Amino acid sequence: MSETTGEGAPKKKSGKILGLSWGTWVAGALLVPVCVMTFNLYRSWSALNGRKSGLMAEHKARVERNAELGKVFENLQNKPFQVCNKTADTVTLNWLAVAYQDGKVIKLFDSSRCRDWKPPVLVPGDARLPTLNSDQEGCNWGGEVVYYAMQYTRESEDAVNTINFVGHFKGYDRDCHNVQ
Amino acid sequence: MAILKLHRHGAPPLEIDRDRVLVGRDPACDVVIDDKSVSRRHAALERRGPGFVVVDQGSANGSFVNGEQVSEAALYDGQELRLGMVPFRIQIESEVEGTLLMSAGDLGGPATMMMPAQAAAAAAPPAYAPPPPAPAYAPPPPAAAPPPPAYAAQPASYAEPAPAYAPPPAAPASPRDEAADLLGLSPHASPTEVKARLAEMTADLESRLANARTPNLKATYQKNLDDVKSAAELLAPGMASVEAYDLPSVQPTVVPDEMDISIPAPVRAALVHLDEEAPERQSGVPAKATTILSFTVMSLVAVCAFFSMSKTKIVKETNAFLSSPEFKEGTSLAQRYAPMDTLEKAGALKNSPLKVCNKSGQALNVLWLGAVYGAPDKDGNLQIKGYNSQFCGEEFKLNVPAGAQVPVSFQGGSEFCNWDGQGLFVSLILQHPQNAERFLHVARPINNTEACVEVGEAL
Repeated sequence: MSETTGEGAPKKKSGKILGLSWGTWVAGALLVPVCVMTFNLYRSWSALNGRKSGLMAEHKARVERNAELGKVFENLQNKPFQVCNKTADTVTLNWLAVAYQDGKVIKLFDSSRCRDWKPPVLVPGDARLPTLNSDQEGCNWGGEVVYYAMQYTRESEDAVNTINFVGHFKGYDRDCHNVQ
Repeated sequence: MAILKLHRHGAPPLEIDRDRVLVGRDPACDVVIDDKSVSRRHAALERRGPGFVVVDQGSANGSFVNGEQVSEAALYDGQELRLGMVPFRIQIESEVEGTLLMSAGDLGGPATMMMPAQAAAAAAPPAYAPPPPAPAYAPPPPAAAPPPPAYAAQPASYAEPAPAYAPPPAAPASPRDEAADLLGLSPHASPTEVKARLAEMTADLESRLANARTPNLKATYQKNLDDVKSAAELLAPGMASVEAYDLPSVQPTVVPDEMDISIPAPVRAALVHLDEEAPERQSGVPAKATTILSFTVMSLVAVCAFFSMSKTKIVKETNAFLSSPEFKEGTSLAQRYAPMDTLEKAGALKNSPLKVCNKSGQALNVLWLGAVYGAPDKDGNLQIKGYNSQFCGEEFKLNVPAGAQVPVSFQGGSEFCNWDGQGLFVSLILQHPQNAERFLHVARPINNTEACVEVGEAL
């Protein structure tokens, strides 16, 4: 092929560099940064997507767990414990053991293990909020109750009755365990 | 008197015996060459003494004798005369009467060349009427009758190539003669000669066909090819069916662009530019690589756009979700239930089997036992219930031998006295083994880690 045209125009450059056209070079040069950008975007997109999915799944599990715990929540709630003497007899609280919630653990108060425990005596109509403030381990108790067991005596003119009781304190009746 | 014969490859000779013949593309010329490389008034062939000279008439593409451009030159037998791009071989011999018509197909190019004497007889417009013919140009006797209109000159023939094959004007010529004339052979040529001639002409036309730039030119070459094959078939039946490619002499030759007279020079120049500016078109590999790379880059950019837009959407959705009342309520409840969650996971709300373990060296008699246990109601909710042995009277009896671990359960007669030993909280009152007036009180939660309620350890 002639290198000049009929009008004598000079031959134009072939537009090739190392056997590749400028278009190939441009596309190849763009390919690397575009690949890096795509990879980085994919990583951040994947992380965001994972976080979103994780949040959704976490929320779903939380809602389900809340529903489950909601049914038993009251079962482990501390209630202020009172003993209310509704009888005409004198009631003496000889022994009291309670399990109560202290943060994320269940603790036990057992009056038989506390030397500072003085059995409360309730005259008829009396109500008592038993507590114990003691340096002895396991004997510092503020009066909260979840489960409790107790032994009390009713002294009437005729007899002395010893009664043992165990139960889950719900505090329904003005936070009183009524001795009737 | 000498006669000048102009031979074109594979065509009947054009005989000239006049003193001066004007050759050009203009129909008014004595010899009309319908070829775009030939100027309207290209050259004159003049008799000078015993010979002839060619005088260029200022043509655009020049006149050449043996490849050298000339303005005026003597012509000798055996030389090559080229007018523009139309070559002739010169033959000078004694006067011979004959036809003066040469078809374009015979010339192997898109040219129509004929003597105006015949063109005029073919009812050409008066403007193209030839000059008064010299007596020497009188048609041969059989041609005295008016030639058929099919041989009419084509005034506008420079616009489009004329059909390749123009039948010879001689009326009495048989088809075999016409075919032989077309092939440049004797009507009695042997099949071998016809075969060789066919191969030669086919190769020439095939190469021209392959390099033709315009559809019209292709059509013209194709028609020439068909005509040649038809003529060969007529002269040697069965010969035309021989594929030209089967013949060893057929090797397509590439006509250089600058020799391709079918395209005007400016267009050819533009084509040269195009070819040089687009090297990818000459070989598919770079173009393909560019295409693939470009497609990849654009695809990746599209993917980037997707990721980018998707990220924005995800962030918006996440923020909206985090600020939704539903999420806040769930989080708030979870914080409230957190201790419960821990306790529940530790088994505080799960019944565990009760075992009483006697750590003393004496048997212990349990006077009273009370327990709290969970039992699901009909709705599946956990209900806390209690067992109190004091209500069971004589049904309750529990003695723990020294060092023994006794699983506890009671199956009493009444509903209140039935307990399977699974509980949450238990309390016991035991009789002191040595002092009947003393009692041992024990109370503790039951869970998996403390399945054994130890008693008597202080004794």
